[in-house]
Amino acid sequence: MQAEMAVTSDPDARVHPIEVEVLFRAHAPFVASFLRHMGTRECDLDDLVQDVFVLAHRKGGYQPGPAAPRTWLASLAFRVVLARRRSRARRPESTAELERLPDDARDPAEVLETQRSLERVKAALEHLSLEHRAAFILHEIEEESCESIAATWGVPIGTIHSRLHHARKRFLEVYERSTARGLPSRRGER
Amino acid sequence: MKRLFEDPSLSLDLRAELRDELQRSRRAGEDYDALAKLPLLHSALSDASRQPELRSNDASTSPGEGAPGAQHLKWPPLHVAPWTWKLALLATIGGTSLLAAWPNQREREARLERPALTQQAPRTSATPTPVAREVQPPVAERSAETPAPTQTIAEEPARPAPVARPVERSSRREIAQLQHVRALLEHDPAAAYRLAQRSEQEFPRGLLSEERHALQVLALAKSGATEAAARKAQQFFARYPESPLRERLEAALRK
Repeated sequence: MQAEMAVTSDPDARVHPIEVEVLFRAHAPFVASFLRHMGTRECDLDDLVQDVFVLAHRKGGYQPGPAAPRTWLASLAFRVVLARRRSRARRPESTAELERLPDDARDPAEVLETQRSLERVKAALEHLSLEHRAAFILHEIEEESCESIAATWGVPIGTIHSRLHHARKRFLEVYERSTARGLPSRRGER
Repeated sequence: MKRLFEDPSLSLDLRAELRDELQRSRRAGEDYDALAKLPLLHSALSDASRQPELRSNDASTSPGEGAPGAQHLKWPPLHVAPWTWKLALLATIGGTSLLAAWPNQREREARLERPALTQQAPRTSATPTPVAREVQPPVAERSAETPAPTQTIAEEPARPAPVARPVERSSRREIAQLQHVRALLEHDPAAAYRLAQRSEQEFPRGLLSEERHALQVLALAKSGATEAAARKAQQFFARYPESPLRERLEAALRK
């Protein structure tokens, strides 16, 4: 992707931070995925994605360093999710959840199956603390390195390993239990 | 550190299942059209440049996070290009594809264009309208109450009017909801009806109220609730006596 190349190959990147529009073009889908896995509802998704990039803009854009752009954006998204949770606790929202719109360009069966996977994974992730959930999403789902996650969160890499260890254990417990019941699971369909 | 699906203590079946499941989950999560959402970002940045704090204002001051970039708290200038609003307009009008099956499509498009064009009214030195997260009434209604001023700020000609963002967002959401209703209509009219009802609750005075009402009639008719469909149709005919959708609804009720 052209925008992604711009993020990684700009020789002047250390002088000029990556501007937010370039980040958005390259990484908005990643941010949306992270937010969805963190439990963001579809009706709130656009708002929160924008909040993440407004925050990125206020931070002056991405400064290349030990943290990758994606994990840096994830750390901002994490803060936005925390802020949203606080505001929601103060003022509960009543807007009903809207189902995601199917993507007409793809095979409906494939869309449905990927959607079910997302729902199953999200259901299991809900049983994790936010810190453990963020580490699990970034490493297990988005395939980010522990080094980048640790650099972004400003914690020792051992902390990330520890969070991942606990997150995996809890995720597996819940996931296997849910699939054994056969309710939302792929095993149950076989 | 190896990933979960590489854990040798797990069975091969479970590892394979987890690998596929997490990959699919990522694909589903990343189903987000950044290009189509770009106008929303421009509006959000424009709003942010006029507001001292982020709407989720606690987010920027989360403790203990040593993220790079945190030390760069400058606000770079915004340069919103003139084409931004053309793109925003196209994005909004693009939703009219849901009306493709209706007659008089030009009237519908013109109806959708009006609020978008209102958004292009120049900014003024009058007090800016605070931007709320909640759904706003259509621009057409508000602009009737408060006529667009004519005085402009010369150095910011390309920036959107303060009301652009919530209206654009709610319009797009309303359009998307009706697209979904139409998609459901053939195979699951009951679900289509439920979604249309929820959409109506969310946008009681939305831009597409007429179309939504008509879709509810069609959904009821298709699901076999003929009496309810007829009652809903009578309400529709009373509310929209000149509607071009009338013939289609009457035909659906005769089936």
